[in-house]
Amino acid sequence: MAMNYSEAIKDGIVSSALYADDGVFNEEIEKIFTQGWVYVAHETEIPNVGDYVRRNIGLEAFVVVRGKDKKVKVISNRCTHRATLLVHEDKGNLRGSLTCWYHGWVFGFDGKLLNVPYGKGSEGLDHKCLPAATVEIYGGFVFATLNPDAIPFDEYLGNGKKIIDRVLDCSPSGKIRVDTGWVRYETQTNWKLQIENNVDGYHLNYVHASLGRALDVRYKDTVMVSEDKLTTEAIDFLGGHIELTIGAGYTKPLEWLGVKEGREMPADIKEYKDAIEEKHSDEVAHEVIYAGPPHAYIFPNLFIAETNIIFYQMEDRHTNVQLSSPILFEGSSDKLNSRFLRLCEGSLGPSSFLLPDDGAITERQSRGHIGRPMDIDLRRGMDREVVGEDGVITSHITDETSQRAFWNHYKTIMSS
Amino acid sequence: MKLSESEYRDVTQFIYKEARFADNSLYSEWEELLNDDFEYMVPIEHGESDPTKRLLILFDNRARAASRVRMLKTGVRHTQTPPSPMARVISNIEVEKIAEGEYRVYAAFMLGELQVQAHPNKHIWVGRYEYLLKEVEGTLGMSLKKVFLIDSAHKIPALGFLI
Repeated sequence: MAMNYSEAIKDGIVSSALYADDGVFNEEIEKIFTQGWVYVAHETEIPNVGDYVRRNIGLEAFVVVRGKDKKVKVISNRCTHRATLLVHEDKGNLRGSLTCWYHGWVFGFDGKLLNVPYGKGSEGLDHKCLPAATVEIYGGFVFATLNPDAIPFDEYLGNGKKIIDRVLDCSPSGKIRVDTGWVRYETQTNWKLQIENNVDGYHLNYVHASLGRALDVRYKDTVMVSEDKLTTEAIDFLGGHIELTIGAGYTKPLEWLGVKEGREMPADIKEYKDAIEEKHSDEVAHEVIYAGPPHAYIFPNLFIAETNIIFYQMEDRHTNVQLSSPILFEGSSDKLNSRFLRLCEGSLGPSSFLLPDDGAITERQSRGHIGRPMDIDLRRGMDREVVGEDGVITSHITDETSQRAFWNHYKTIMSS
Repeated sequence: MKLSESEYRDVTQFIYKEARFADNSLYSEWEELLNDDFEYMVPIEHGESDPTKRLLILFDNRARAASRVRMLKTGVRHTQTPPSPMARVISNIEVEKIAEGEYRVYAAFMLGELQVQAHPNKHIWVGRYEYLLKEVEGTLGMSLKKVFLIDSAHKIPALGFLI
């Protein structure tokens, strides 16, 4: 039975069937991940001609490759002959072309079919080139769509551009690198649970209780104090893009980099601070030095987790893989950049101090979705939201404004 | 350097004891085995890889290992609440004596984990260990534990326990 999305998502209540139904998942793959724009890679992963990474769009296999014209291409990884994967390793360099190891069909980096062995038997047949996705890049972030009639990229990215701009502002060179490898953490959950959780400012005291009790963490003052004391916010940027302004809670310079009050600032961080003050106006420099990079989600599969990137590749309705990697600053010292590596290991991935606890809780939640559909109550803070002139909605960080932001946009797409 | 029979026995006994403490989530006992220069690594890449330039799955220095243990001991580290029942088999042990009271050890392992924190699920971890053990004031302790999972570059489930 087809899902009625207008009924299933209404007034801050969503049906648990939206996480637990295979039909819904298949429709999401089509409407969100195939017809819409998705994040596929960061262009610093493939610096040289022929460099590639394997990525899925929805469930389908693609290759993101640096073409001979130095441009990033996203082409199908399925031979147009009999669907065999053309590249099977996760990353590497293609020397000149893609050759299928089944019957030797050869394709160019742009997907063009260049050669078919024993060509006589193919005479008169319209063998196909590899389908290519439409590609757009913003700040090095590569997005793609399989839909030739997709909405314009600028319209899709919307306020997400400002989020990416603020990431780039944090780099003294204005450029970032995401090329140190990916940790892949699998949870037995629907993908949407990871999105909801990553933009949830309400769970920290409970899900991350062990961190709060065992460590003196920077999160404590910004998201683990009483409701009235929290100055941080949840923001619905429209278009499904969402931010928690965790950084706004920091009161001391470069707390987001682990600088502690009363201790001398390490030389590499001092150097970084000077470079930021040199580069930016006072206002922007202050924002970078105090708040740091954003904690924000770009619809549908990219999450900027302060100094890290997460993106999602789902395998089926209840299997989701989060890939995480740190954001490094192009041109900054190895000393500074290695801090981002260690921050990433500490906070994200299956053995970190944060994510596996989110994983355990959302896996329990996932189990709860089995059985008769129930109402998931996401109405918290509905009455204290502030709607700006541009339609952007702001509320207390613990409010489910962020989840509603996701579901409102989801509903628009899924009902279309 | 030449390794004596008794040194070989002491080293392997240490390795088995460390495994037993980890298997049984005996966090304090496990932590007592660590030297001050302890490093705990689960790399993604298995070749020569510089941790100042490449991401690892897990990289603790002694202070971070202490934090990890403190979190596990709170009883609300959900990824290990309750702790997973586990058993690991360590084999193919090779011991190299690199200095007086210093040993590099290579081994293979298989570890069965029953994940009981959400949906009960059995997971088999397979890989190789590399250890650096050093005697400090007459007591053997662990200065390095490096865990090369066969699937480190692929998706893995929660790794909240001591592997």
